[in-house]
Amino acid sequence: MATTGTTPETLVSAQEQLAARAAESQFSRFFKRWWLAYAMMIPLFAFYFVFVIIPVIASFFLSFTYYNILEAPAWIGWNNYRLLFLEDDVFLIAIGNTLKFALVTGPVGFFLSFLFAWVIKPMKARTILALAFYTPSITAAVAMSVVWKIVFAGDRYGYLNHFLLSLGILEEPYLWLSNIDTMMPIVMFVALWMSMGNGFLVFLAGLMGVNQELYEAGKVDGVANPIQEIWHITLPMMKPQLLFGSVMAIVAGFGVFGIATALTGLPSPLYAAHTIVTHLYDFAFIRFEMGYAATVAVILFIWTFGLSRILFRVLSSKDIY
Amino acid sequence: MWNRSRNSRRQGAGRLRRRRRGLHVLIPVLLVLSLLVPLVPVVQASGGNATPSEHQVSAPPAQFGDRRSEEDIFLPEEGFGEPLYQSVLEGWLREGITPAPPEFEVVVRGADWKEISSERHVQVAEASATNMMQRYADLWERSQALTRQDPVAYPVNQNIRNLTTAYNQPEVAQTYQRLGGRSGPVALWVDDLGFIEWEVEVPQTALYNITTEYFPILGKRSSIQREIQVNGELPFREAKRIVQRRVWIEQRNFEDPDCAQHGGVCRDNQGNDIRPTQAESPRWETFTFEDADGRYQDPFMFKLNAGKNTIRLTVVRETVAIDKLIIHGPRPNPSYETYLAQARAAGFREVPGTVPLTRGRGEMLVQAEDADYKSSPTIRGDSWEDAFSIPQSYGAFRLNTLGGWRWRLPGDWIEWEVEVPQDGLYAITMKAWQGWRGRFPRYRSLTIDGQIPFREAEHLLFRPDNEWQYYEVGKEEAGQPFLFALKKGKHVIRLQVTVGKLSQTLRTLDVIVTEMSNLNREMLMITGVNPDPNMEWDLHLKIPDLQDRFRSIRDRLLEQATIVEEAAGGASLSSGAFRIVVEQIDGMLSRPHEIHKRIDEFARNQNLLSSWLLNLQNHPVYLDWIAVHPPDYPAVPNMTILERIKIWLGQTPRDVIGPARGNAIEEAWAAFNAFLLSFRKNFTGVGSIYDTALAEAFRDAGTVPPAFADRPEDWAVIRKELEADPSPLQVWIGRGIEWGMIMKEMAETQFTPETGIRVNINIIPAGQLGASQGSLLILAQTAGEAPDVGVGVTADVPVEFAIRNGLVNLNTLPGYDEVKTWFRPGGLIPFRYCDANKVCGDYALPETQDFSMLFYRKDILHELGMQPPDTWDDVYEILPQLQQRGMDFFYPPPTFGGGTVAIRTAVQGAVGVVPFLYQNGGEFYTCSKDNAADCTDDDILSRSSLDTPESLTGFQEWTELYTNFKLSREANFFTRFRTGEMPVGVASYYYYVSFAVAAPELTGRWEMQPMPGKLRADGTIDRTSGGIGEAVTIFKLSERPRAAWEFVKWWLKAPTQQQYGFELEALIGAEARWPTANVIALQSLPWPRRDIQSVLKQWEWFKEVPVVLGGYFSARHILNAWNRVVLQGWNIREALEEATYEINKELARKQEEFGFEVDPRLYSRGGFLRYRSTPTPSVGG
Repeated sequence: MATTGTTPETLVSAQEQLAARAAESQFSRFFKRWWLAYAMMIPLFAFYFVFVIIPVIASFFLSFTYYNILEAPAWIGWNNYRLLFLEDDVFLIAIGNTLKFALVTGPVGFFLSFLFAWVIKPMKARTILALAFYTPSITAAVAMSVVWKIVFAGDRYGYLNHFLLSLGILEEPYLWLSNIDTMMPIVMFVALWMSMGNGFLVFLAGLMGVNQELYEAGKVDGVANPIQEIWHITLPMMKPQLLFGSVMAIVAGFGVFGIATALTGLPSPLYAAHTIVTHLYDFAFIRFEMGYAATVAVILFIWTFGLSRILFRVLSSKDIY
Repeated sequence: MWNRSRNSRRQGAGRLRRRRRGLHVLIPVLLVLSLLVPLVPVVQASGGNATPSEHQVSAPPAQFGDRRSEEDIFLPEEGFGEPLYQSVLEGWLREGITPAPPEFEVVVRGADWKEISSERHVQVAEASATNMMQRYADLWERSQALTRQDPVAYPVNQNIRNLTTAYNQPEVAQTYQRLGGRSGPVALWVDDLGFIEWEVEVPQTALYNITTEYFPILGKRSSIQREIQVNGELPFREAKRIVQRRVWIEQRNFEDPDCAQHGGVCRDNQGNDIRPTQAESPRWETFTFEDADGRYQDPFMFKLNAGKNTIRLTVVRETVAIDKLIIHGPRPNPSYETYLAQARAAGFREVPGTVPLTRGRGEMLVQAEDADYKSSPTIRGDSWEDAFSIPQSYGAFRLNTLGGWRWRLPGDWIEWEVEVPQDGLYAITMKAWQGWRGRFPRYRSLTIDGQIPFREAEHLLFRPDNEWQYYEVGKEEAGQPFLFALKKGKHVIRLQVTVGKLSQTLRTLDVIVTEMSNLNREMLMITGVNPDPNMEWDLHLKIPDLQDRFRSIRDRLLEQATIVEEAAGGASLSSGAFRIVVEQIDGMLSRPHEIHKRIDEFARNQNLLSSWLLNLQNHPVYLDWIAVHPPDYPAVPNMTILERIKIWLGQTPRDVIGPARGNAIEEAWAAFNAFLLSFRKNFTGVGSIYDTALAEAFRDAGTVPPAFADRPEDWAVIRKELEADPSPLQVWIGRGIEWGMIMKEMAETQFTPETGIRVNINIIPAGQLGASQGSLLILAQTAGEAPDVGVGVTADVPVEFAIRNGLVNLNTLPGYDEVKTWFRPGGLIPFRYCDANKVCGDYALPETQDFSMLFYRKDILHELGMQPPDTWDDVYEILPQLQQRGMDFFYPPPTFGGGTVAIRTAVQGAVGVVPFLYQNGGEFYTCSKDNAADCTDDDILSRSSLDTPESLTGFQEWTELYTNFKLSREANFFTRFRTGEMPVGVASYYYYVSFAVAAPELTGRWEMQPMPGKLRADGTIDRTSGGIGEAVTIFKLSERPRAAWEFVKWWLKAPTQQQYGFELEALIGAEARWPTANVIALQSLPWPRRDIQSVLKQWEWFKEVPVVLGGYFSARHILNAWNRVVLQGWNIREALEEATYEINKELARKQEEFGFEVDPRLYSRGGFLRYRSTPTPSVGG
């Protein structure tokens, strides 16, 4: 027969060889094709690993220890968690405040940044205005607090006090930043003002990325007014940006720290503006209980991580327009 | 018609549409702007103050807004009511009294006095001044005897001791024995007390100048101040303070060849210049009595009557010898034309340009930093990293310029010696920089050989410019360089700060600010602090001349604005400020019925003006070099490219002159050089940085450093330590670079030669030496990199670190028991910590201490007929009266964690409670026994003591200040004290310095005394109060505790602290007054006698709050309790109970953490309740 060299044995071995080659070449082909991309990502991975992954793992580990910074950590098992959930009253206050803060600033900030982006988009001085909106977000909380502290100073010469006194609404200066009734609202207000820029910039980019032809098509299909335009065209087209914006808003909401402490102090009077991160800081750097602080951090991590997963589920979709 | 209207309607519609579109754009724009609004005040706030440029390499950390030298910390006792010289002079001239003829002169020998206060104060010094030395020896004897009798009332007079020691040194004694080489009897103040009165006879009633020849005697290093009285009375207000300056030199080292080749400036091992020490070099000075603040261009004229007159000089501070008083007619200088004509007539001709320009110290071109004499030690060299500063710095610290911000106060002078090769007419050129913000004109007067040559040289104008400039003397004034007739040989050129043509502005401004402050107060007395804006106050009717006074202020301001603008050559910040005030007053005048709405603004403007008053008095100028050269000789030859390149490459011998400023490439090159250097140079340390701890001289096993001569066993231990770990002692200091530099200098010259131990000093940002907020100290400790010694650590560090086993227990080190007596016992409290096994230790020693004093405005209290309060009851008595008039009392309000001030006490923002708690017999902590009285010193402070009746009373009193008396709960005391809204207040004793240096308009109108207290049964007043302090600690990671301990002991002992205080003030100025914790050292700092007594009196009551495990909760919950009581109206008892519960819980938690035996009652609410009459059964044991 002309089946030279194609005995079943050789066939099998050829198949094996082929398979082996395929297997080998699958990897090498993959490698050949993607090595550059991976090489380029190595620095990022390295940094991400060193500055994110390792600290997260380390704080998981530390949350099971007693660690006072100056001495080596000592293993104490679940004790920190037991204390945190069963005995720490202040943690409950912190959770309450953080939730309050996140629930107000998240949605409101989200809505406001969309609104402003929408208002500014058609304007000529868009770039300048965008910068103006974004400036507070990139300025340090301490610097911002200096500005707002003048406004809310408890002195007679604080702007707000002075204004209200001269209108006759107040009779004596009001301590805006020490009174438990006003602390949290002020922190929220300032935080809104500061953090709006982030979402705003993303939304502006999203708005500008919407295909103009869709609006024309929409008009043909009977979209009558701007509200309908937003609802039926703009919002669906902006889903990725909205998702990003909402996740950022939530994460920022739970991580509130800088502006709260800069305005009201650490800890704030009667814990009225005490948030989870403030609580963490209190234990870590005032009481030197790093292990316990790590526990708080772990809880916060799980919480934010979970929430953003949920948000992803709700908002993301595979639809492509 | 119809057509038109339709047309117009269409137009109208179009306009409307446009307007609507405009609105559409406008609304978002407004929204955005509103977002930016809060940014505005920051911009404004940063724009107000004239600050030296970033070029000033070693700007000290800002303590207070403006800084002045020690010369100005002076507060006349009384006299704010006296008339000013200006009005007195005008009065004399109106009376027809004319200045005496210039040739008239009467000389009175200093020793020929008519009367003196006491032999103990003034003596005749013959050619030999041994009697003066004897005098000091006697005084020292006497003060020692007093100290032995009653050490509290008569503390060791360190000043006298120093003087005694100084006069016993041969070289000093020699200078003073000869009294500058003058023979014959002179009048000599041997103590800084008393007066001398002379009698002088003049032929006619006229106005005379008085000139004196004086010799500054060693003292507290501050300027000499006298009050002058003529015929038994003070002629005018300014005569309260006549300032005579001391003479200073820089001690350059020409013996060491390494230093001599750099002009006598030594360098450390990093290649940086070491600032030479400033030393006094007394000599006979001639001085015509003039205004201390330079507000008058001419010297004072005094009216003397025909016949006999008496002139009396009374000590304000410091001692001096006086040879003569010369009474003469005012002698105006000739004009330049006359001067030149005279010189030409005398045969002086322009020196030809062929004469070479010699360069170097004492030659024709002198480097400014090589000045021979100067009037203040604060005038000192600086380092510019400019491309063409000479010598160039190349990134190192190189003294290459002189003056600047430290040479700005009227009266301060610098002298250079120059030598010219032949007789003739010369021109003078300087390289100067005057680019401070605000574009002010600055002035100098030029003296040659003690004589101002012509009138124009009385105020040479330095125009503002952002770059270095060649300043040819005369170009500004006459359009061409002035020519100076100089004989061959040496001449002395003196440049003196003067206010020049601004003196008129200053005087006017001074008067205006005072008038404004009076007006402000008068208005507030009618309306109260918060006038109801809707009420018709009709202030212009109630103060009838109100509008006229406004108008007059406005007119004068406008006039001055024009004058300043002319001098500065354009609008400047200050004239702008004047115009703002003018506008505001115009607004008030145009609507007199609404004046009350603008009172606040008016008060702000008053502040604005007084800050300009300060600014206009400052006349800083930097000089690089100064040259006396032939008129047609280019002092600065045009350089070839090759020469320029040579300079870039660093081949700049000291005598090559570059252009005034480099071009862009050259500046870039200079910057690049500095950048390159940053890779090679160690910038973290201060001064020389060593590798080994043992100084070379003591490497041999046999040599014992002098400090250990009588205790060689200590040296053996230290030596062993240093051999085990040979790196030099690491000291971290949490202060500014200058603080570190002086410390390093002192360690190099004193500590290392004495003990053989070398020290490296590192500057750590001030906040980083705390225990909280992730500070560097904690990170370093964690990483095992902690220093050996921490200096200036905050008071909470020691115990926090000791708890966690990070510090050395100083108690175990030899000599601790003696060292601790250097401080107030109350200051040691926060550094003591006892562990679970009741082993107690002291983990730090106090370095600085600050505590509260009472400040009050004499003028306002006098007006209101009040006495400054001595007890709290006094305070409660005057409070309603003050408040009735719209004023308030200041008491440090609680600052919550977010307060702007860095608070460094155990009770943080709750400092206000400390005096009340202690004065009522309360405590912060006690032991866990049922009865607090059973507690002994050995018991551990384990629970909060806020639940005792005493604490309750204290806390109640504290909160009542805010609930009953409605004290301000937030206020800026400094500003309100100035405006008079808060004429009395309790504040840190450091406010003394800021009022003295930064509020010139208040001079003489305020005083400081111990803070109010509680009258005890025995009649004494209990003023117990806490304070704020910084500490020195030794870290356990250091394996050389004994060597570190030697350093700590050296650093904290009185002579070191005292010298440090002096050097700081010499280098930085009075605002850097050192608040040392060392009892003896504090007394020798240059405080006025009366004030130091107040400070000492208060210091006796100093008691710090202990730091215990978990003690940070005390501050937190005291503040919370305050918040509940004052802001939410809680019952005081309930609020305190809650606080005690929370504090105890945390204390117990922490005690458990560190293995203490914990009393379970600490965890229960009311476990130790003490208010109830029936004791509750305690829970557990």
